Amino acid sequence: MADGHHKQGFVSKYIFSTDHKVIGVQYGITAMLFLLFGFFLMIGMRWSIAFPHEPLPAWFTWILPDGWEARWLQDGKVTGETYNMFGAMHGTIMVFLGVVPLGFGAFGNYVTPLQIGAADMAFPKLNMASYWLYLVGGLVMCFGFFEWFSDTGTAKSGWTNYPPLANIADMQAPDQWRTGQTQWLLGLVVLITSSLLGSVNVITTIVNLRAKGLTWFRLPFLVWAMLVVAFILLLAFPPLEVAGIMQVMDRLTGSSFFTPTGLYTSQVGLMDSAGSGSPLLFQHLFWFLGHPEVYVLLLPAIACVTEIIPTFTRKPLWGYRSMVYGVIVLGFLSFIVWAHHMYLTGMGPVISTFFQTTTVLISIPSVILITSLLISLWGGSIHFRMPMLWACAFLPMFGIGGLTGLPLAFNLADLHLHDTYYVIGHFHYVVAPGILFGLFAGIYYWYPKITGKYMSDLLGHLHFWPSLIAINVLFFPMLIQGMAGFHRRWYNGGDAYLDKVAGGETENVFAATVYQFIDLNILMSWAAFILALCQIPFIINVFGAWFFGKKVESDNPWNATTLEWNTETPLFAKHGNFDEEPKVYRGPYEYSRPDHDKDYLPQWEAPQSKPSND
Amino acid sequence: MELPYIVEPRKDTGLFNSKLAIWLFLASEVMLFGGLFSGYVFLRIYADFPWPERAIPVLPGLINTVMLILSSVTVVFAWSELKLRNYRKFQVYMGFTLFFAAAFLGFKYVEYTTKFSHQAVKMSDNVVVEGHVDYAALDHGKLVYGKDAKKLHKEGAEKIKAKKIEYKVEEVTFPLRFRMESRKKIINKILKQAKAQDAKLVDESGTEITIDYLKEARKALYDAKKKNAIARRDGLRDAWKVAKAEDAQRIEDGKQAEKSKGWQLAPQVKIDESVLDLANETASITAKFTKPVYLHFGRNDIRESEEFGILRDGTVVKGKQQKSYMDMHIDAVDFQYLAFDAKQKGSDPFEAIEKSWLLSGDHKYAKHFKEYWDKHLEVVLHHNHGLQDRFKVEQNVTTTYKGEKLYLPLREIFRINWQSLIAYDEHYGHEDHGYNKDYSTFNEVEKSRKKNVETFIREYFQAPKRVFPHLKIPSKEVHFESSLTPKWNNFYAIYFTITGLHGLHIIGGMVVLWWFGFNSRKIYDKDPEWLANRVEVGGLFWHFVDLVWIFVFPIFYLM
Repeated sequence: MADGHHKQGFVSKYIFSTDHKVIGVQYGITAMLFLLFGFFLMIGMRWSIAFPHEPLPAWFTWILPDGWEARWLQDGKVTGETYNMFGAMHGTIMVFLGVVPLGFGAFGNYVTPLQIGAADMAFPKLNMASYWLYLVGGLVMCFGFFEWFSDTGTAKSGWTNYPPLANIADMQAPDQWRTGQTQWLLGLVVLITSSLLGSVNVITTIVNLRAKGLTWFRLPFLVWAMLVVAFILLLAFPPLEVAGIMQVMDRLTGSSFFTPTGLYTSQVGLMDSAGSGSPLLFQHLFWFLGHPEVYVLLLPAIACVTEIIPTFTRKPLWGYRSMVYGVIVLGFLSFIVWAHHMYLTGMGPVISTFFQTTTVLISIPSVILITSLLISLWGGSIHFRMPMLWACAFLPMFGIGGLTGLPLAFNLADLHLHDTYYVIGHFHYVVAPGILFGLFAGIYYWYPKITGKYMSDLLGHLHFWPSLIAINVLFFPMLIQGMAGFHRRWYNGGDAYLDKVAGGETENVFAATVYQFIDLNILMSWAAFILALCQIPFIINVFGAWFFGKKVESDNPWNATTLEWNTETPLFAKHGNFDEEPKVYRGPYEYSRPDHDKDYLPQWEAPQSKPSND
Repeated sequence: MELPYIVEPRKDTGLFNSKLAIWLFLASEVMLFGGLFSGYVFLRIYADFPWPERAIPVLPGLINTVMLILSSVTVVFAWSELKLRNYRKFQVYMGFTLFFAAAFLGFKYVEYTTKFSHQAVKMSDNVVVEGHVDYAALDHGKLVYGKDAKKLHKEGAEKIKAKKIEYKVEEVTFPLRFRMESRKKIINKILKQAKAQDAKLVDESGTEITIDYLKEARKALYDAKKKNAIARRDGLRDAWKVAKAEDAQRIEDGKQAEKSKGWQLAPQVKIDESVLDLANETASITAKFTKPVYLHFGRNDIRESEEFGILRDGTVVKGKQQKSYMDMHIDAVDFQYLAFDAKQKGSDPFEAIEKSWLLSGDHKYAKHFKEYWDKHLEVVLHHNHGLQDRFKVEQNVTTTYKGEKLYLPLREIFRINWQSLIAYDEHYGHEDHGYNKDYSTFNEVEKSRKKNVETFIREYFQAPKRVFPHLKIPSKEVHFESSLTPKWNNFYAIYFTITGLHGLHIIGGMVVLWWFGFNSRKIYDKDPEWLANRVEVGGLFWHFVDLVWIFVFPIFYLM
């Protein structure tokens, strides 16, 4: 905006700031706090799965108020209802409030305008509104944890919130506004509004505020990825908003968009509603967002990795153009695969076949991206600094996540695997060691730009190696259990089946299978607890390095080539980013050019001699 | 560095920032309304009830369409005047735009309120009647209807919508699960009605029940629960420690090869219950009235049974259910649901109609409605003959009546709307049933029906004042009732959702356009082109809102 360089107060500079860098950091910190909270809920769930008969340990319960324990735990044990609350909120928080805001909110906000040489986002005030709407929406979704807001706890129908279950949950509450289930929906609508504003902002910024000379194919890959993500959010989120609004109507006005005729429940008896609604409609609207959302999660992470790999191999990115085309095709295809989440709803073989085909097709651009990154490593002089370690771990981990998805894409195989731990293992491989590792790489990479300090390598290694091991011990057994048929929503990890097993001998085949694989639960849960411990060095690192970290020597500590390194360091609340308007002379990944002395040639460096004829 | 392209467009993209942004925003809006309209298609295709057609009066919708189009035109004029730097004219056109928008909302308000005040009842045999609910009054706490109620109203009694369920209550049980804050309304209603009947609600020791009493009881319960929860948890933890130690001991002693699994040990682990404070862990308070009290509840607030009722918050009222009624004036009778149902069962809808409670039940209105139905059937058959005789229609049989093929749409056959009710009354009279069957009388009826439709606005104010047939439905005959709100069926649900969201867009657009038109002089003085850009962007949004209505109008008003 056209306001001058007047002095800002603390509040307008750091809290209600319109500066994209501050907002980016706000997004990042808030998202990481949400991630931590989602992780905490997961610990409670994992305890219940591994040790269903034992009360939660003291290191978990100390944080819970007594009243909460009286209402939601039974003899200190997690009840089914509480497990459902934790499960629904874990999913919601991780996806909507954690990973998307960290990837698209934090990196999209902080890095994108810098990489295109812009002074700020196109609409700084709108940008601020996005962040605050996100925070409000997120908090509203979590209101249910507090008795003061909600009579019935939080939402408890899974993060997908499928009706008719979600429609009748908490229906017995006297005041529908004061139920977690309704608040979840209201929070969702606010959150979606935030994303819509954010995506409009990002696209406008990228299209209209690129620096001089920064043509489309000179854009860093991260900018392309953010552009695609923004388009996905822009077009895929509104149908979910529709679903949210319709479900709010169902809950508050008694309409029956998603309530079928003659629905009877033990809690409320025959539903006092007109009926004729379609639960399937909700699933379509939900997954129309839900699947593209996967790419909203993934692309920022892959983008971070793409920025990091050329920098630490000192070698141009292999297949930049095919990656760009790949990511665009990926964005398009992501809109026509949604019903592969619904093979078991009885859509019919024709529709299933269509979505099976598109789903298999979408693996092509995904593989192009990953393969390009892998080949980029070939023949490079790899510097295993912290960001590069995470980026290197991302590749195989995401690979496992992607490959385990193939059996789910085929509806025949999905008949067996649907709703088992295999699905959980698959998408957690994608999201946790895949996407989150990519985002960690990004944090270690841009941290020196934000703060002017390096993060500690020692703490970094303490964070990285145990995390890598623990996370695999946590998620790999899920694939095994899943193939054995373990259902994803067992709050006691399958314990109920053991009654049927006398000394391991039983005619009940399924109980025997459960008996065989149930002890993996304990292994996985310990891995989860250790994984939680592994994050402590990171937390110390993020805050500690800000004060005690090693100072960076230059504005471009990694000797990288993209525009964000052409700014002063630390770069946090500086108005306008660049001292003078940057000019771009070449593509983003010009490393180790034979005609150049240094092993990198930044985008902004004016050609010294007259340009060669190529 | 400052942000560029706020006023001037960027050369290579040809767009200034906000113009690009508004097109993107509109793209997402397309997806939003696209999602809603797909929802409409889905719901209509899979509807298991007769989807209402022409349920919303067309004329006001048409007027609204015209007004929105006009406002879209004036907003363009406003923009062009701004481009020509005629600030005054710009403001005038902006004023027109806002006026049309406000008028649109005015019509919408009338449409909404007519629907909200209109009651529909689906009876147990699938006959649907629509109309307006009368008022009942309280006679010593007991509901009375009709003339008795009117007399009491004149004496100043409170008007109560005659759609309640009544109980003669002796005992009430309050569970303590939910906080009193969210239950105040429900509990206060009980206490207030008791007070009006000079009765008190007291617990075993004779203490009067109040909200504060219940609050304290709940607090005591949860204090005990908290204490016990901690004691239980700690007890269980200790018990597990002991059990595990014993298990380890057994291995050491060689009695057991390996560590027991959690589920194997679980049955041995017991909490010592003696430390618990179980006395205070009563989950509910039961209280008696000093004398039996008549209480009435909304139908949606209570789950009924002969001997007791359960309220929304779990409160149980014990006592005999009284005979209560829905007292209404009927302005439409709809047998479409019944016909729909009969078709699925393969039975004859006309027989079912004859047998329905409305036409042949044991009540004094049955005869009356039978007459209406007979008259209606005459008209329907007359129409049908006309179709056959004049137009030689032989296709599209919709149903058969006593072996005769009917070609009229089911809506015309099975629904008696308010225009018809009036027409039958006017031309056949209440008392005289021996009407003339020749064409002239028939045409009179048709003319009157048409006239009524054409003069909707006059009728809107007149119709409620007409004396429509009266009907008292015992509450046990009522299967489902609602005013014409989203609850009644999915047509109204999607209608209110889409038009409601559209209305919110109108309000949002009005605020923005008002801001540009009447609160942006400063920007105009600084750089008129900047304001013109804003108006252009606002205008684009306004056109979109108009466009949505262009879809809404045919889909909800005409189809």
